[in-house]
Amino acid sequence: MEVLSANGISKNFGPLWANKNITFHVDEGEIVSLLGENGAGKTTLMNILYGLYQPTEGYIKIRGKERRIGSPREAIDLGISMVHQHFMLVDALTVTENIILGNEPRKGIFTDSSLALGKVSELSEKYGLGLDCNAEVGTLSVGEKQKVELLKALYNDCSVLILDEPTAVLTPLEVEAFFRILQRLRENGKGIILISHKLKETLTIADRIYIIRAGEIVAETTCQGASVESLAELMVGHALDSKIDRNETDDNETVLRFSEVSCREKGRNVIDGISLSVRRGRILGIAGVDGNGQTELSELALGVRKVSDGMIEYHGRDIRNTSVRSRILEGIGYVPEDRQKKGLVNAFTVEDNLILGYEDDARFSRHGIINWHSVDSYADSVISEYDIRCQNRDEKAGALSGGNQQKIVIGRVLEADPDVIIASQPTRGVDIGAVEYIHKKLIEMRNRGKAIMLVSADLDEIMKLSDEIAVIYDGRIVSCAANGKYTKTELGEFMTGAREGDE
Amino acid sequence: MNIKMVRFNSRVSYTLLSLVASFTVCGILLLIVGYNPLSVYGIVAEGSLGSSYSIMKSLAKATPLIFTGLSVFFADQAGLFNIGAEGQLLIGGITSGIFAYYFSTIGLPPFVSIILCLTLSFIAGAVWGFIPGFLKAYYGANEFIVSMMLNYVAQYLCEYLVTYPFRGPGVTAKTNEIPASYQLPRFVDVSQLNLGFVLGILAVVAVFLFFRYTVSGRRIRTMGRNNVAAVISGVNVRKETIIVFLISGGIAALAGSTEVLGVHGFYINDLSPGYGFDGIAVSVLAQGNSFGVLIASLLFGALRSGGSRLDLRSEVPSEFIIVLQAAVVVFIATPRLIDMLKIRRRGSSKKKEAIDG
Amino acid sequence: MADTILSMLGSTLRISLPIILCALGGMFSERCGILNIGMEGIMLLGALFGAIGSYVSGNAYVGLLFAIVLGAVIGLMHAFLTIKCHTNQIIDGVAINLLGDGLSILLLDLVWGNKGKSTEVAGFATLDSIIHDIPVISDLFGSLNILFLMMIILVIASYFYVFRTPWGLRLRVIGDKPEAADSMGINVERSQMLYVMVGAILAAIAGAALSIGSIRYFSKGMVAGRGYMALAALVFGMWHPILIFLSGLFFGFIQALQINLQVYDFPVQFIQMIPYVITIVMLVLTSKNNKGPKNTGKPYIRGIRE
Repeated sequence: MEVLSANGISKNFGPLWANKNITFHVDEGEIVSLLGENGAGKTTLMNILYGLYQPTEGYIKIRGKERRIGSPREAIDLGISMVHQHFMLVDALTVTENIILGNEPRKGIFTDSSLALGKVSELSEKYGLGLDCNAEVGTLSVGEKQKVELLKALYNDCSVLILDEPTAVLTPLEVEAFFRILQRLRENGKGIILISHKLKETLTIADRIYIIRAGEIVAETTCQGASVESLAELMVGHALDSKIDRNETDDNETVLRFSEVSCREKGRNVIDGISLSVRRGRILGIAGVDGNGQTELSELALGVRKVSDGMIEYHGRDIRNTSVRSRILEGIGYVPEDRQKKGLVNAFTVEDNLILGYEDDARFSRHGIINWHSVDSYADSVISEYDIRCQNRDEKAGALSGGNQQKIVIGRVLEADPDVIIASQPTRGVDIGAVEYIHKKLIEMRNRGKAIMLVSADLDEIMKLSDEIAVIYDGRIVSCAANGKYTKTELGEFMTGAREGDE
Repeated sequence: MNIKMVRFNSRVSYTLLSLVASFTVCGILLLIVGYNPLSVYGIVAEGSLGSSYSIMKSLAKATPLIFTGLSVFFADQAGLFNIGAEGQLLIGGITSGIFAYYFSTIGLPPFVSIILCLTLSFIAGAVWGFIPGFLKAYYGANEFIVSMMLNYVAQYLCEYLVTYPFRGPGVTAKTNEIPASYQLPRFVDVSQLNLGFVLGILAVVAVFLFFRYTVSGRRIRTMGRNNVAAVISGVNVRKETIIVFLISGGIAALAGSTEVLGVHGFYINDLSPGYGFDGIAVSVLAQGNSFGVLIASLLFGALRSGGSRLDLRSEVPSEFIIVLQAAVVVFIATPRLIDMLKIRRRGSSKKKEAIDG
Repeated sequence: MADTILSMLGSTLRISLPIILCALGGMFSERCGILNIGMEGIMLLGALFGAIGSYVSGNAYVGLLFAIVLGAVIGLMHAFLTIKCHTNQIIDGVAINLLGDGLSILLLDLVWGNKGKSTEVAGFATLDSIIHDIPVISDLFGSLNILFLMMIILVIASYFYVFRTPWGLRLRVIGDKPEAADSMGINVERSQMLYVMVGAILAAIAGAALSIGSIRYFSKGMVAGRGYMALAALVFGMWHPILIFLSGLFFGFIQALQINLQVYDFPVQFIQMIPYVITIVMLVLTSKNNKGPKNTGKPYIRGIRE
């Protein structure tokens, strides 16, 4: 039986149509996937279903009845729950407190804590989630937090569950466990809407797939009739050229070397005895689940964090005590993982952002005085060279799309002709076109003899680009080997610490 | 049209609208408590612009505001809040009061004495500014509360110095009178307007050039707009925080120094009727533009000098001007209020919403 | 000696009352995610309106009512500007303080025709009339009034409210992660409006406690930084009602000490500095590991992260 259907939903923001005439439905005991790339309009659609936005046109039916969903509260009351891509959990509160929020059992004017704990634990057991309901959420792993989100939905007695990119932060093993839980929910008659841009996973779990592109549903298919290639083509709208030309050189001298590097913060080794070599003409992939020390490792190389033990050498020279500024100018280029927070100043113009960190460079200034004339012409050339779509160099960087913002960050680094490039999650949150472009650029840099350290949580990306793959887990390198030695599953096992191996 | 020009024009019109709105709201307030706003504004306008004397008086009143405004503005560019300009001003004032007299007694050439006094005041203010900067950088102590508390400490410290060790002759507690030749020269005898005003304009130009053309200025601005990105791009945030507070404190101290050297000729308790806090309003009104500081100071200086006439010529206390300042701050800091007025007038709205996903 | 200590403890309680009340108000404001550094100005205006209400009616309770209404109005203004219009919370706080400075003198002049000080107004009766026969107790609590009892009740009630009720849970979530509250159907903006107003009302009552509580007149600038001290007490009290109460007592004690030290032959200015210096020291000691609500200071705009 149909539990939810969207009928001709459209939504515009000014002249932009984020959703156009979208119609789909989900039945009881069914997993439906909405597949589309970043910016296709999936999240807008979910926010409409969850009452955060109102559709410009169209309507929603719940169990065959037309309903207006005016707020998340109304959505919850109608049996719709949502697990957001970014967890809606408060670290300082316990699992139970997080779950009962908004629907707290009461005893008089007080919260009935024991009743709450009982209810939540019971549900956790029923669905085999195995959570400690008294634990503070801040102490849980990402996979456990995901379960808390699910439990929250179950606690609110949902009949439709919307999952927004639920596997983005999970390791392959956690994904498997997560899918088993979803299957159990399906058997219990829940209707599940899975929003994703991951093709393989969608094929594994979904019963039906809707493909959404540029705000419209362009195809509906079942898993039987689909392949990864056909889905990708539908998603992007044209066939992808994923061919990669590598050339091999003999000169693979080490440019950046970590020797037994440790970094101690708040009484804990966030980096624990890591040894790595980043070499000319090679891409070293660092695979790992977020929060296992990748950021710290990159920032140690840049000098934002200090080494507590061990040695970092750049061209054979100890750089442990040099400043970030001098490292940047001497050719360590860094593409940070979160461009909004770390890579850009949104309130600055495109031009300002294109020299960020390189103000001291001889190209732009002498004796601390900036030559805006040369900066202007440089900015114009980078904008056209990297195809940064903006009105002109004076536009605010914050007004640009994610892909174009990332091009600013990457253009800035590559134009400085660095010897080593540390690219951290360089394609996160950008559309497929920009992903292809960035991959091509990285390979091009590799072929030109740059030493590249690619940090990514996306194993497909790591396996596509790297010459060598190191897996980081809990601040340590648990495996380091040539690309191809391990399968994706094996790498996944390393990533969760389920397996430790040869370095 | 050039994108920068468009932005500039819209900002100017928006600023003017905000000022009109502030005067209107405060006018209504006056009406409510039973005064005639037009006559009050008339007195203020006449008092600030009515004669060449009153214009000079307005410029004289603007002088300390240029410095305190610039001080707050400078810290604001780094994303820091220096509410301590008031205290730094006092420290700078007493430093000049003490040293100018001392230099005159040892017969230092007046010109050298003035330069030295300005320098020493700058340093003293910088030291006072160092405290919140250092505590913020190394202990994460809220610079706002620390610099506010230091205002009180500075007030009592200066009160002590002028009451006991450095008290000059006379009934009221003040330092020894500085000989006229050791004071900042005035342009005409009858007006308090002095060379300090020119120094203020020079300071504005210097700050403008610093932020526009130097690498250090860039870095400080980066830090103010995105602290994390600044760190990643090689800004040593701790060091810069301290430097910014040193400079900010120094500039504020010049307000006290020029008041003592140019206006009073000695340090006296209650040297500042809140110039340091006016500096905040000036900085807000300047909206990130160095020359905006100059213009805003002129406006508030004129209000102050015109306002002082209220006590003589009307029932309204001159403190009404402070209320007016509060209104200006609110309207300038709240673009949405003006947008709401505009939308109502046009009867239509152009909504911009972010699309995520 | 014992007398001095007793009277000093008594004045500690009296002096800490406004600081604790104001800090408690700050707690509600900051826990829901909205900074209000305009506490100083609200206290000042609260003191003035308390005095005016008491002056026109001859009844301190009417004064209290005036202060509450004033607090609600300014709280509503701050809430509207910062929550609905996304005005920078610090800047708006500064504006409130400016408003307090200017408006208090304007109205002081209007009501009493004097820019420095009001005439004597009716104040709250002290507890002395009830307990003056009990030796130690009357020394300690004799100079206190009904507002002190109210404060004690408020501290305890706030503790239970914040940590034991559903609304308290929601309050804690809103200040920490408003989008989490929003996703569970909690109206973030409405809650914030409410708590900011509650905070401002408490600050205004704190001001009234000065003008119609301990002393019975209003004078220009009589708050003298207590609003800022309350903010420091809030940080020191880690946004927790009971700890705020204790840190408020500490600040009160320092003030009482300062007053008692003034009888010694020592430049009074250095003694007057003490509370301010101590505030800075306390702030430095507690800032490193401060665990305030995470989202305070930023407006909550649906769909925009960080």
